[in-house]
Amino acid sequence: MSLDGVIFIIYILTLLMIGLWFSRKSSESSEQYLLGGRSLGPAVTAMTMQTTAMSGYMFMGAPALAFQYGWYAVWYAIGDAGGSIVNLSVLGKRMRRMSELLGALSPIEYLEKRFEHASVRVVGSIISIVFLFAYVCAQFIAAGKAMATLTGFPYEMSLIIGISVIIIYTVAGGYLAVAYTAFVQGIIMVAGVVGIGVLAYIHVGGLTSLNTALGNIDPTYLSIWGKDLAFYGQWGVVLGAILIFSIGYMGLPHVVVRHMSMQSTKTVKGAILIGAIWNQFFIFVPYILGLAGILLIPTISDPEMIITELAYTLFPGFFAALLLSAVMSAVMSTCDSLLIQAGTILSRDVYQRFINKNAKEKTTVLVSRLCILGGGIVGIVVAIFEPPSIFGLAVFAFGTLGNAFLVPYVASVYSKKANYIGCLCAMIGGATTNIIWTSMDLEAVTGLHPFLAGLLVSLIGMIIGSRFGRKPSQSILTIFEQSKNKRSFSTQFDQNIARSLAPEAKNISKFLAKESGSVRNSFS
Amino acid sequence: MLGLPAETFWLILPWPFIWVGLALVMYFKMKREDDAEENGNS
Repeated sequence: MSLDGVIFIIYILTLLMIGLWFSRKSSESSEQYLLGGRSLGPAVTAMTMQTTAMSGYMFMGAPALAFQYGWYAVWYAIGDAGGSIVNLSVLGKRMRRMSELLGALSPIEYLEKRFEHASVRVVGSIISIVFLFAYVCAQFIAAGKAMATLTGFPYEMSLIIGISVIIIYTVAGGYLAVAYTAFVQGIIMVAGVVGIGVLAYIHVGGLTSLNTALGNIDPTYLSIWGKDLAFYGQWGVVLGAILIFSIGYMGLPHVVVRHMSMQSTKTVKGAILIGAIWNQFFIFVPYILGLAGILLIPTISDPEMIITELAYTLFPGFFAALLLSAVMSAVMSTCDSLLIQAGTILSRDVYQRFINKNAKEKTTVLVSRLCILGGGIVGIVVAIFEPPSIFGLAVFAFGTLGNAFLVPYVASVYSKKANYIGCLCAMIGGATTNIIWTSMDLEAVTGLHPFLAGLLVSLIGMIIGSRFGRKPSQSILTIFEQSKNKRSFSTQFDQNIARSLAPEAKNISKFLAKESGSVRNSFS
Repeated sequence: MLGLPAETFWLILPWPFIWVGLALVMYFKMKREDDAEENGNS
């Protein structure tokens, strides 16, 4: 067997072992299965957040965009490189505190409990299920395509093998398996990209040589406005390109759930730093490789395969094998998060909320597992009938989810006035605007990126909508204040007070038990 | 300037440094908050 085959099999087996390792622990309760018992530290939080956010798009869509437009494409990388910092700084601590105070296990349940209306959960569940599923399908197709190209297996077979592995470890190990496999995948992704990046850098003779050569082919490749100055003066498009990946993550249910699963609010600071450093190493390289592709493989028929083509033609052997694992890591780490989130929403927000309110913990975990399995199988069937454009679908689903949920999540922790009418207007308005803007290609007419248009409508919807309907209750306002402020007591104080009060608490319990016993006896 | 036009260089190249700088600022800001919380100074 070839080296790349051996490395890839080791990688797959590692993922399966992690899934099985966590299977028993994850079955303990819904909180364990769906949120990993809120136990993730800074390194795992940062890696799972980033690898979930960085899908197969980074290895296929990003270089293709740079190949097509030149340095303009790097606008997307600029926003993306700061996405985790913005996301964790804005939502991190407050959402961690509030989700625990509300007792929410899913990001949609969180919205219902914060905005106090079942309609929020119904609308939120419908939007997220539809677009998470579209996103899952896009990732499944990417997984099948990448694996088929890299292994030589037929597309259908590659799809079934790759996705089966994801389904097995996700169903077995739940959120913990997803988070810890993401940690391993994050290391492989950055190692693969940096390795290929360094080799390509040496091959083209450095960044200056690359740019000089690009300028000789067409000087507009070096412009911030795109090749042939396609976006000249269109700041609305440029701003949208930056914002979609810098703030858009705050609207993705499968990403914001990472705030809810952190060990404590103290996890945030370490996660920001680790995420920021990982981003700077990982995010820019695929775009630069796309630019290198203009020089090295100008006649490539499918620009989405630039990175794999570069690896296999220029640097065969170990780096090509590493890259195969890195590409699959990017796709798989997003797929598993999407699947578990779709499963969580179906089991927690649909089954337990509307079908079986008294479902036991074990039943909820079982339903989650069945939903993930069912969603995965349906996804494979849909992905076999390949839609025309993977990345069009991925960016569309990403933008719609971001436009639907970004404003509600931010408003939930920063606005006391935000209520369920505002939340509904923001979700429906944001999602609808993105769908209309994209399907009618209004970007070309208005010079405004669909994400920016959706964001503005969603924001206006939240502001105006919150003026109508019932105001947030006193209990929500109290939780709002508690999640905004620091803890009143230190951890040390909490531990000491618990230790000091323990004997008294025991005596009080004994006394109450004795009293209730004597009361029962007097009645009998 | 790495063979890039001045506009492209100055609008794009500083960003990785800006992001890492911001991450460091946020790290130390939150560390101070966490320490204050731990010492009961909040």
